[in-house]
Amino acid sequence: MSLSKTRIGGLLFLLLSVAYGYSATSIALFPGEETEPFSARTLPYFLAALGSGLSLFLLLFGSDGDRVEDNVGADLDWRLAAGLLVLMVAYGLALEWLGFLVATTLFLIIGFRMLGERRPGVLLAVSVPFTVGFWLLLTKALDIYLAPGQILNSFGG
Amino acid sequence: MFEGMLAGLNTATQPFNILMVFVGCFAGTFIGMLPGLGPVSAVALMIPITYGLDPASGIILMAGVYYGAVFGGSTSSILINAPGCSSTVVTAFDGYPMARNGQAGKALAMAAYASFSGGTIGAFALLVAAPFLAKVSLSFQSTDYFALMVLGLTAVAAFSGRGQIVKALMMTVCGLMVATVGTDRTSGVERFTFGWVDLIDGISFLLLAMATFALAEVIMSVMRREGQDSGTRVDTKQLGSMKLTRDELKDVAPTIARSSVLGFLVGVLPGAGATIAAFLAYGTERNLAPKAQRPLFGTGILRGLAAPESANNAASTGSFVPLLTLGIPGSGTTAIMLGALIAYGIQPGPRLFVDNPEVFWSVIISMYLGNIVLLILNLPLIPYISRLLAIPRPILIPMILLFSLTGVYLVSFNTFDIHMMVIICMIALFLRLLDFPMAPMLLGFILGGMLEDNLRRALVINDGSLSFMWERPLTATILGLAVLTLAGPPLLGLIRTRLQLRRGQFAADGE
Repeated sequence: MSLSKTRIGGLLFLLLSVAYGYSATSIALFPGEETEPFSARTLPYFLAALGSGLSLFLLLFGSDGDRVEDNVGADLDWRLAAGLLVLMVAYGLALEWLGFLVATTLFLIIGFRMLGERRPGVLLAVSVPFTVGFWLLLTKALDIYLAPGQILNSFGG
Repeated sequence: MFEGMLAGLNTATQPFNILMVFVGCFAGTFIGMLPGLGPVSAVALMIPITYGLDPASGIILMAGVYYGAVFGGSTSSILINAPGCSSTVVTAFDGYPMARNGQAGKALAMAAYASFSGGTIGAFALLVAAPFLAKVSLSFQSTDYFALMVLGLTAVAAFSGRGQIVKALMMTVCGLMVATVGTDRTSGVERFTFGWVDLIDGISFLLLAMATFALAEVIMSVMRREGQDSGTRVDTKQLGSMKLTRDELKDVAPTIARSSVLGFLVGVLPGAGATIAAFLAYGTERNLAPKAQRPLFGTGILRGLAAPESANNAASTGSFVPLLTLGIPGSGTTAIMLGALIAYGIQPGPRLFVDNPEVFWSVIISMYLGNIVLLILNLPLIPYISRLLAIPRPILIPMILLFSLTGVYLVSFNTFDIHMMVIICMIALFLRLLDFPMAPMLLGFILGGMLEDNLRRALVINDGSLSFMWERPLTATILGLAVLTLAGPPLLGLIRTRLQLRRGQFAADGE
């Protein structure tokens, strides 16, 4: 049995289904609910069983046609994708600490740069007006309250 | 029924709602045109905006975005051979060769006329089919609903392609599992929250849709370095004439009529959707064409372009039939709309026709308006809109990411959601690399809650016995259909290989 995309997926889903089924046993039940035809555990148990069955099928009968080659993913730009994901996490943190305006401007500038736009003039000329325009639209036109960042808050007392 | 229709007409023709049709079609065309972003992402990106609107306007906007995105997808298929979504892949077969031959304008005009005709025929069929089906489905019980949801979920898996059925079923189960996270609706106990306060309300549907579609699609296109080669582009400033001759129109008219009807019927089937409709229509037209014309398919002929375009638009309209009448989405996009309707507190299904006739009818009428808008607004504007394709990707991609992130953040104002999105996006990327389809997961997630409620009700009514599955004729029939859709394609494949083997044997014996 060789390693194929389907089989890797099958194995992962088997682990997921078993873990799901196991944690379903700790769902709280009200007294007497064990005898009811349907409780909060019924569907999770059924799904865990179905998921295990399907993933076992994938694992055992998955085709070898999509075998994982040694150089899998060599043509993919992993670094850029990982960089963008990290940037998004950082944006989540920055929104809380620096506020919408600063966080969004920084997100756009770093994002543009990561994707290959190096001219400082373009970076600023696109990100700042866009962020300010978006902020004005949200706060003034749509009347949405955007909390200033915690750092700015502490400076403001 | 006429009262409802009038109320719908009244709602759909309100200036604000007509504006929504315009905005939706325009935004949809633009988003759909961006390679990698299809109607699912386009509609998902609109959800945060629709939260501030009333239900009818919101759903009209989303419907506009839907067919705008399908239309936009065909534009990028024709001009840069980069289909915005899977349903316009077939459009590129003949559309792109036409553009390369200097007939980009003609190809775009043909796509617009075919889309318009397909959409219009589809909208009329919806006008007739939806109320009829809604009336019939008023007699449905919870057991039938449970069976219908099983049918919807299995149909999505069954139509997901050769060798993908088990994978799609696995993803459906995965979606159902994700739907159980949070507080149980009936007993109120927490399930799979692991003590996290942020998970008590469950995972938001918007977050899941954005992370698995909008975010994952963009990151995937970045990873695959798509759109970096400009050599395949057709000069968008010189599209050529947009006029079609009378003979050409005469030639494609039967094709459009046939493909629209076929497309609508395929669209009505839960789970089938526009992609299958487009492929089927293209294949049918090629088979029906005179022998001399057959080799021309794929080299840039109008018939090969008109067939998938009319079929995918008719199918997009058709997929609203199961959504509006049964509450079961026919495609990934309608699945997102179902989620949005539920968020409005509107339960799509047979009661929608009775309880919210203005929503029901205004959507149908606005679809017709949308088709007109696409024809009169987008066609003349295409040369200008297509220049948007020239916005550099380094500028465009961070902005799409930003819209996706803020779209979710502005609903909850909780930065935990942004981090959750990134985690789900990473899982979705990994699963995409393993060729697991995402749409069944989303459908499973959306139908999960309803499926559990109906199963619970069915079991309680029947004293915990599962006999309702075979004792109630309607339920049994629907479940039988579900089994058939699931077992049908592999069985047919098996029979076909057997026949081919036997034929091969006969041929060998005859020699």
